[in-house]
Amino acid sequence: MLGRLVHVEVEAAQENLRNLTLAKIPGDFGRLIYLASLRDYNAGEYHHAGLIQQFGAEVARDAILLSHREVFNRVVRCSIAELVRQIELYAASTHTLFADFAHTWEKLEPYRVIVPLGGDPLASRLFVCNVRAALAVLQGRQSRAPQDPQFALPRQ
Amino acid sequence: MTAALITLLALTTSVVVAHWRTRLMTRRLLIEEGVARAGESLWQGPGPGPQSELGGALFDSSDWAVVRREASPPCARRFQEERTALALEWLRQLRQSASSLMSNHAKAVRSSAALSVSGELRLASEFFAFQLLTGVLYGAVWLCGPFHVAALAGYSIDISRRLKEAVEDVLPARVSFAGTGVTAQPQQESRPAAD
Repeated sequence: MLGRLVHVEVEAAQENLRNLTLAKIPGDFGRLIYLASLRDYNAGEYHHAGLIQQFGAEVARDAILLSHREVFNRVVRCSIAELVRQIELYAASTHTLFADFAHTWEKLEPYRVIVPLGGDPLASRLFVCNVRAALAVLQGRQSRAPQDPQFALPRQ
Repeated sequence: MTAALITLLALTTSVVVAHWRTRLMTRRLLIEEGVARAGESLWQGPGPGPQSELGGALFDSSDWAVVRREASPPCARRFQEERTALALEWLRQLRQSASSLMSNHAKAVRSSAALSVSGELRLASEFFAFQLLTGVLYGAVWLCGPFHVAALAGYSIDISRRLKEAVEDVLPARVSFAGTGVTAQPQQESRPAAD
């Protein structure tokens, strides 16, 4: 009975997170980065002040973890063409020059830390492989069309 | 004549060396991933989603078309090598799951009074077909990469589903079939009442 109650609460928290926060972020790739940013690097636990206030720490943590896995599962199964589109969307939302963005991502590989914990290792390896390939595709496009405004987003 | 022979020999050697280098790279990736996996204690939990969809994504030839067309040749080569290593690992997991499914089934059958010979024969033939097909697929992926054998991979997933269904039909057992994301549900075993 208690388990079912907690489950309902987690679902409500997930719904809240989906509708009020994630819906405002364009693209699943951006959502994935946002959700990973809620995770403490050392403890691996998620923190979201609004959700904790409304649902309590444990329910909020579970809701974010489940949402993180849900979004990751969608991203890992999308094609390279779709992933390229999503990364483009995310890069545009950061208001950084694409060349800078691509360079930083190539060197630091931040996509390695946006994978949720407790998932399938094969899926996480496929994700890393796909993101690297999508970045290579974007860099290829940039080198072929350096004057294309799509790849030279103005700093704001 | 001698010059042509030398050129031919040089060309053949180059092709063999290039092929060997690619195979070596794939092997290195497999070893690296194996070592990494051994240290991934955080990854011991259950998988996040249906593995059959992961299989579909791994063998998707449209990915290769995009990367080959738009990325630089070294990046495209690396992509192909990584995907080959991943596809081989996925196949190994699929075969391992099928083997443990059959092993669990064999244990369950030994203690069961309701043994169906025709059902067991059907199961054995499904398992044999599965092993044969995945063996061929493994070799094909090793040689040509995963992007030209998507249909064969899809067929392997179908056979693995049929194998799981055959196990369920013959004797239900609690077995998670990691390769396909399918879990055989436990059912009450009907045993004759002890007098």
